[in-house]
Amino acid sequence: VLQAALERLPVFYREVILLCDVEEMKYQEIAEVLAVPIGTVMSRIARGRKLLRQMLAGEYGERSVSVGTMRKKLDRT
Amino acid sequence: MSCMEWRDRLEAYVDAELSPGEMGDFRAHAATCPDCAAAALALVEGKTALRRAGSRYTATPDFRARVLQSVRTQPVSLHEEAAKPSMPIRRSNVLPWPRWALAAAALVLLATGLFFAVNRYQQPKALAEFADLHVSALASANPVEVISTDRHTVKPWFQGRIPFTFDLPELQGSSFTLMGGRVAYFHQEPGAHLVFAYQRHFISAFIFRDTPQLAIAESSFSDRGSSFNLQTWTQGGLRYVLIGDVNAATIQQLADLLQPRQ
Repeated sequence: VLQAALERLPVFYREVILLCDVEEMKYQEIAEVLAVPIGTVMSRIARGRKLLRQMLAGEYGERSVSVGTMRKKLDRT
Repeated sequence: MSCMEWRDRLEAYVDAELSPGEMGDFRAHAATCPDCAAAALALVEGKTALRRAGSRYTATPDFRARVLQSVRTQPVSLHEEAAKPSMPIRRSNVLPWPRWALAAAALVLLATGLFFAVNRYQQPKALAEFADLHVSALASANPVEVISTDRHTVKPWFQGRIPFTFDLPELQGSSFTLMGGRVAYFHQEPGAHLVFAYQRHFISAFIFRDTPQLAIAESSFSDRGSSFNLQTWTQGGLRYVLIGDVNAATIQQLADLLQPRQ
């Protein structure tokens, strides 16, 4: 389930999370590899992990309104 | 440091990015605060699970070595440059301009250069931040916290959740449909994030109090890398930012509808 969520994660979140958690690179190294400011690395890691938690919460049946649900609602209006 | 402050630094703690002193301070705090200890433990467990789940993406040792090598062979830090022995400076004996004029010209050039450099850096950075907020909201399980096409439901929902109020005009009869809203944060400032639908596209409208951190010029611009179009303006002390994957003209149409009548 986590792997599937990881694959659905937008690529700029997935890359920092993989570099940090799998490759165990430091924030500064990630910033240099991706050529982005270190603050961006920090915010992407925090937001990416938060998004993953939300995705997993949705998988496990918490109240969720996905973009698909919004589109269906849009089709009805 | 309070629990709230520690919570902001928990990610850095589990990634061992705090200074040794701060790491010790947090451990001492966690020993007496079960909530912070539990939050840190949850993050550590998540990190461990991610490492297992992400192992299929593990780079080969050769690739990893090459990446790390490329990082370590970029000694272009200002300190190192400054530490290098400087070349002898040749002074020209013939100065066609008085020294004060040269100094003034250099100052003007420096100020102009700084102005453009800061603007060039701030604009894409802010754009990237808003693109992140837009994409992460749409990709999340809950893109909106209040789900309604009715502005009289969405606007009052923000009461007590953000420290300001804003005008939300009626869009009935236009091509745009209000889908709902949520609270968004930009540089620790809470603001309103409204989601509008246009055909099958979603456009985010962010409304924040105008602060120096929101240093974006009044303009519309697009990010060639991500294909997002963005329109921003300030009115009544509030900064409005529209972002979406529709074309610039459509963003402009929505901006015209949302701009409060003076």
